[in-house]
Amino acid sequence: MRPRLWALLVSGALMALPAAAEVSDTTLLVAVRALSFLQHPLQGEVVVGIVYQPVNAQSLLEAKHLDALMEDGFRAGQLVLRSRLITLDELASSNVGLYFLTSKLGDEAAPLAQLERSRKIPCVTTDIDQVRDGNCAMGVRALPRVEILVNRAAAAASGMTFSEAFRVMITEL
Amino acid sequence: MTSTPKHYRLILVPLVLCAQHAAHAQSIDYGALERLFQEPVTTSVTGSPQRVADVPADMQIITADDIRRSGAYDLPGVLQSAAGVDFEQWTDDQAEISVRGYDQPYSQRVLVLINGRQVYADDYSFTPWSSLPVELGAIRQIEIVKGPASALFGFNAVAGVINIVTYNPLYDQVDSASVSAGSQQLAQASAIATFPLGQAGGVRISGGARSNQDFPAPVAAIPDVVGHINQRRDANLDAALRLNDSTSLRIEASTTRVEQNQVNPVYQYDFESFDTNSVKAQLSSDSDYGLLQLTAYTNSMDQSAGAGLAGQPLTFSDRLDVAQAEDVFKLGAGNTFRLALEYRHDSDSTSPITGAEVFYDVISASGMWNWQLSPLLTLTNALRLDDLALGRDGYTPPGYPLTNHDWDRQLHVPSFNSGLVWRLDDSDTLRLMAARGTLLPNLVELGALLYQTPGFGVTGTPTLAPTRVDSYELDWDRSVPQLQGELRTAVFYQFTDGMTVLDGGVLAGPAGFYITPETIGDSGALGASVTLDGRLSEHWRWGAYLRYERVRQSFSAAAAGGVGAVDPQDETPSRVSKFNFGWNQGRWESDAYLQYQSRIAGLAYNGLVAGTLIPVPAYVSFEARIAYQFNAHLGVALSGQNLLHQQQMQTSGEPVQRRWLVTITGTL
Repeated sequence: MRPRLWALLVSGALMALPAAAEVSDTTLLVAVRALSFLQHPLQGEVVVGIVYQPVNAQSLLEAKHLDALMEDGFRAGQLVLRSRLITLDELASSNVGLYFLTSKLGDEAAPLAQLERSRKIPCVTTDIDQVRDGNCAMGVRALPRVEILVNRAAAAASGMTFSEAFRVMITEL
Repeated sequence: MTSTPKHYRLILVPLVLCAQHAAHAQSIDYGALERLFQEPVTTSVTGSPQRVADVPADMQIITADDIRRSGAYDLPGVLQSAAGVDFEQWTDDQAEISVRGYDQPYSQRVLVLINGRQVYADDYSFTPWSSLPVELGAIRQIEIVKGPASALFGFNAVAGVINIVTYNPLYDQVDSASVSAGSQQLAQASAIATFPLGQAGGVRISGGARSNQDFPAPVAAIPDVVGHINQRRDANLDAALRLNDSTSLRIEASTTRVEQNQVNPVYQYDFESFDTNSVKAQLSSDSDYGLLQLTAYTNSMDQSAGAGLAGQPLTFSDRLDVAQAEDVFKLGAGNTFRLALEYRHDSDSTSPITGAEVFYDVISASGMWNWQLSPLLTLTNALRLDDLALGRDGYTPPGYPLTNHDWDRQLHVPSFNSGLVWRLDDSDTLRLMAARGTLLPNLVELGALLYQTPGFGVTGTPTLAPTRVDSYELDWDRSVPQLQGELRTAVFYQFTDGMTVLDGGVLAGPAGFYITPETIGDSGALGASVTLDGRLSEHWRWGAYLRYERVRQSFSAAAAGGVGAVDPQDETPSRVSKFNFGWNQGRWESDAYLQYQSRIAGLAYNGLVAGTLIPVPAYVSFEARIAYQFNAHLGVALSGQNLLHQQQMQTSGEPVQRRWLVTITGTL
């Protein structure tokens, strides 16, 4: 199957659900648990860069919601996530351990892909289009059923290598 | 390793396992995957880790929570209320389990495993449930696969597979102790202790003991079983060691000793003993080459039957040695493969005439391809080839019409599983499956049974052909958010080609004639089932299961009417229903289970063979449990089985008694 067709099928299937699923603490928990299957998982206290566009209402709303979820540190096992809001303009100067890309940013998020590659920083989003376009390596959804989508090329470029037990249970493109 | 060809690298894999440092997990951490996907995870359908909703099979998982809330004190009791499972209580400690009908004493068609290790006994092709070396509190989940699964597990997984998965001491800390007392003079104790070894791994030790008496007063029809005390003892060691970041070694060892009243394959009551021992080692690695696993285990079982044959006790010593190698890996974005090789050697001593053994060696190769055509559509194909070499060594009595060379036979047996899983949307899933499984003649039928008197004998035979089961199934699952539940439906057809009986043939020899096993004919089963479960609120849960099944058989005249102790057409109930209700709040927990089975005609022993059909009326049985948790560490439960009647006819054997028990459980 040609890559483009595959990508269309993937997006068609996963986009049957809202393109940008609502971010909840469950979504965040799914993302953190998925990242624990990295061959070199995140550990300790990690600063999460919430990448958003202030003039985009949905992006802004999601960013604020995520920031609130991590206000006192979001704990999952040994990991503690602390948030930092980062506008697209501030991306280049950001210093974080994980990107959480808010939804509905379209092509504006393209510079993030460059940063992921150069700095080897993982990226998570609920916006499946961004995973399809390679701007973010991993997409997650919590409801009504947990779904995880990984862009293999983007993941490899950003140094994200997952255990095989995890890979055989998720959708890759 | 940049230029080494892939196939050379695969060959080198076992050698470099201990040098792997890259991957995070070593063996399947069921708990972590379940927490991530928020549903049970299994490897029992394709060999690859899968979410239960994605497997190409009709599958049910009984969780540790379900086991506790069943109120049962043994494994068949836990399985009794499971959808699709047939349950027959023959004595207090002998219950027979099958999937989708064909249940009978020494039920043959379901392969049972503990952590992938076969605990199904090859001497009579059955599962001696009491001798399984596992405590209920050590079980993470019981995985029930309905339909043939021979392409993954090999012979005898023709109607289904039950894989009992225990907690892994590498990841799970389980510490508990319980004592139970109840009717039928039941006394039971169980203990489980886990000893973490820091980053190195963990060790779990578990064991239990049980005694009861199911026939304290004389029963005229079955004098052989009166006055016996059923007893069970078991001990289990489970050690998991982390060799490095990617590789772990798990070693399991177990022993059991069981004495209990039984109904044997010809429906004769008997007092039997089972001594089992096993040792298993499994090396697992989540490596750059995939999920690699090397497994070796050895099982032994000595089974003695007091009534035996013509007054001579039967004692069989079954030995099974297995070595397996497998690799699960993903190529590209949507293709998961499993490649496996297996060798097994199985042998059994002859009885009641001793001095010989019947054995076979099996070399198997299997492959599975899970092709994710799209995120919503997956096609899985699995194929297995078993190459079996049969043999016999040792003594042949004078006048015996067979020589050891007659056992020098080869069988080449293919089996397959194909399944298409189509997730129509977030609510609906369709599954279409086709499979072929093979039931191998057991070692008793293949010659371990050997009895001879002047002019008459009984012997197994090396020429018996395997039984082939073809299965076709269409399933539809739909989530029902209004009920916080799920609807699961299945329509299935199974055709069994070449069913055998223990004593249907005749072989003439110089010393007289011998009764032998015989192939008697075919059978087909057409059925449909509906399962609906859900929650009424945070505190209430419920479930319902309905099945209609029609079994037909075409047997030779000599085996008609169950003369050979096989009669699924009469013995399989056409309608089975199961209902359960559960409630929990605060410190209280309560559950009730109701089961209905339509009338059947069951076989009974008539002094020579199982040739008498007895009407068994339709019945309803009721089980219940209520429990109170004093604090985080101590709880008490009162549970009962067959509560509607003091005694009730559920099989063609003795009536099933009402039972109750009190259990006190302490946990750390």
